Amino acid sequence: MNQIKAFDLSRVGLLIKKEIFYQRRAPWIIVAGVFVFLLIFNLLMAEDSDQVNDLPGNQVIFYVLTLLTLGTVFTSASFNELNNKSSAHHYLSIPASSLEKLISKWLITGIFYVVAFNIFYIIFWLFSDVVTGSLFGIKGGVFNPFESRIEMDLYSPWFFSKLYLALHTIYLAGAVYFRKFSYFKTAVAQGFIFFTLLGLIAGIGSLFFYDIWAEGMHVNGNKIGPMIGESGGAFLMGLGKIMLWVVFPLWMLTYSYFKLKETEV
Amino acid sequence: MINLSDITFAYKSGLFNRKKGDMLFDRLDLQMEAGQGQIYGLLGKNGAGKTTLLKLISGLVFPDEGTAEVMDYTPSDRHPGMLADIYYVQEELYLPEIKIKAYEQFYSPFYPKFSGEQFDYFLKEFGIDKERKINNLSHGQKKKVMLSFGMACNSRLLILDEPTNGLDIPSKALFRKMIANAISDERLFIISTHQVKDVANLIDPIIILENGKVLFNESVENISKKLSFDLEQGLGEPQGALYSERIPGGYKTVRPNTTGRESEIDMESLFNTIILNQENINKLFQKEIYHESN
Repeated sequence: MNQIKAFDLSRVGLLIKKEIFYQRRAPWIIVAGVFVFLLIFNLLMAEDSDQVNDLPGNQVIFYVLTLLTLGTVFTSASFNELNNKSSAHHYLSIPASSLEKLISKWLITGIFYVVAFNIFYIIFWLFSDVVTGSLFGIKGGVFNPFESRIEMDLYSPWFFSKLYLALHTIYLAGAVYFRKFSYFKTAVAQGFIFFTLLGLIAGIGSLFFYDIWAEGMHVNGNKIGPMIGESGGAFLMGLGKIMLWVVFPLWMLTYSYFKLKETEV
Repeated sequence: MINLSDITFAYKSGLFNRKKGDMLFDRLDLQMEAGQGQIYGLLGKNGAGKTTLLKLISGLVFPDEGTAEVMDYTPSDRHPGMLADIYYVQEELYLPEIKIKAYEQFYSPFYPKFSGEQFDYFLKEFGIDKERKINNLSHGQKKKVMLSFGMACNSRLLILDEPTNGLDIPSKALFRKMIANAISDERLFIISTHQVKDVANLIDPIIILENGKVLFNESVENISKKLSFDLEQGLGEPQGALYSERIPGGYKTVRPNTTGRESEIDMESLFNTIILNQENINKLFQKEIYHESN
């Protein structure tokens, strides 16, 4: 008994190989469609003399829109096998653990997608640059996903790749939880949870800590604070970053794991 | 190999899957052992819980209460070691839209005992070209592919849910031949079916489920010893039979075997006898068990 280990990286590899083979056609159609759409849009912008100077900026806007939209839709479809009983039976019977199945989906919809998308976007922009250059004599420059386009590092294209990697775990959890219309249901649930949490935190925070944060407090006659200042802001920003990059994705992945593990046909 | 003890199960529904439907299994106990090339026949009326029982065994649904153990694993854990040693051919097939050889390429590595030679042999016997795309096959052909793959996996537990549905007449005979050849002392096959005639000479022991309970679980040898299956000429209703069914020129009958002569089991008559005569059948088989134990 138990000669076969509960977790084996080679099985993750097999699942990824299988998944990539299954997906080999559908993404190409989508990729071609997006490519053509972006190219047309870019040409229209290039033709409009008022918009010419915005071409480099457009690179980032197009990049963010397509990266997040395509990625979340793709992630939402990642557990389509669970949509009906026969395919769920087939998928859940594959001799791999729930963890292996989740990791394979996470890698494909996360890391692989981001790498593939950045390669796609660089190729697109090179092609687009040649076309706009030859037609209108306008050069947008080579797209570099790691370049800080706008002064603040926060808004570099790479920031959005990282943001996608954090946020796509919500859509992965939604793909496991919702059997139908996973994308829309996840988006609605995400908005609802986000605003509810925001309201709760802001409400509770202002009830109990507003004075301390805003005015500071006196301890043994010495004034401490106010906490919302440079140090308070930095603290909150640091906390937010940890929540966004570490706690939240791990929470979503943990939820997805247990949900997948307890999924029945 | 399979040990289900005190299992209760009801399908759930509702927003958070918390609402329980009617109880399907209430304190179900069932043991199945490999040993002498057993092919368990699982019979029951529609809705008796046959497919659900198979799903419980293979970890696709989880019991509400009770313990399940399959090959020393807990099925609901869906441990890869257990899944690699179970192959379940479902009644309603799902197969990806790829070629058969691609299916083999991507799925066979998950089954350590898979034999490519056997898969090729079974496909050849069924007359299926490996180069064909699965979605272009008929339902019967898809079933042949899955049966071939399932047998080639050489898993210790092979579960077949209505395996002969959709198979043509020559393929049914071929299926029986393959199954008979594939079974061994280390392996256990479970065939759930309504087409009892298709597998009549294969299945032993026979389990009958009714209202979520195991109504009957006996070996063919024991059944032959206790019951007599006959065709009786004449138009008069047979007296003293546990079950009789009108056929042209007479009756099919099932009676307690008082002569010791063993007759060929008519599976449909056996099923009907057990469903209609639960008390008599229980007494007949329990009495014998009592005598045997003394």
